[in-house]
Amino acid sequence: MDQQEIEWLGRCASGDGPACAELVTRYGRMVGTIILRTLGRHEEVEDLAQETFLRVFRYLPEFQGRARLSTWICTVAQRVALDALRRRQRTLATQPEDQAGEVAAEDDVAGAAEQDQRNALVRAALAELPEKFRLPLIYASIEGLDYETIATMLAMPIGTVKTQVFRGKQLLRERLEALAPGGWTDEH
Amino acid sequence: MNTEARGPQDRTLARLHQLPAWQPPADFAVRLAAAAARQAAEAPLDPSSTFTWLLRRLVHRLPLGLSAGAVALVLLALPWSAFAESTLLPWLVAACGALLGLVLAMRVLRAP
Repeated sequence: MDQQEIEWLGRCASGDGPACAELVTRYGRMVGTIILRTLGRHEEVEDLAQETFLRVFRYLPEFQGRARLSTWICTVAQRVALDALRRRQRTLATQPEDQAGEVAAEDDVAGAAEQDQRNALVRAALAELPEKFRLPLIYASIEGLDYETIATMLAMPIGTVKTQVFRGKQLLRERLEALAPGGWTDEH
Repeated sequence: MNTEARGPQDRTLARLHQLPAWQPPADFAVRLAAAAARQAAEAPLDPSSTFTWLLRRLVHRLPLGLSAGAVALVLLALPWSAFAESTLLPWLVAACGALLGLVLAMRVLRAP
């Protein structure tokens, strides 16, 4: 970190409006996309992105610059999203109704356009993957996240991330073929 | 982006890239800046709320705490006299263990 960045982060930690707004503008889209892809739906993204940034501002004095700032912020976003996902899974497990099915049905209605249908199909296939493959795979698909950042976010070696992304892609392709045989490739 | 793979796997990843990214609302940064200012202006935590916070975090990390307790019990039950005649060894192990536990606890508790 250079002196300018240290001063900027210091202003963020003390609640300086323009400095905080700049940080949010710079990383907001990536934070929201990490949360969106982790949860697989839009409903809570804004609230959780807000929670992420408030945590970031609160813990900024603890940030020692060992990792890149973007990596640290992405890690916080991933933790917030994963906490929300676990809460949702616990809620779903205790509810008699299958709300996951309702979400899929809403996607079907909204997905009148072909692209929306494809996205709904990909999301449905992703939801069936085990978490250990799903998370590295979805993060690898986010622009700006490299393997090094993903490895830090998931606290695992880069080699393991690459292996799980590779295996995740295989599993996703199998799931897509099972859900829509021959219907998911670019040729269709 | 990580797109060095080619073939069917590459197409699979391309599909993932096409999923929509999140677009923050226009006033998102301004609202958050205001919330950050309010957060920064809050009074520092008093000792009782710090204790509550610490307790909550420790409970949240219950498996970690229970594992540490189990390791401590195992260390306590070890027949130290069988390993060495010196009485220094158990103290040395205990001190190292405590130091390691302290470092790990600080890392866990200071993580956002």
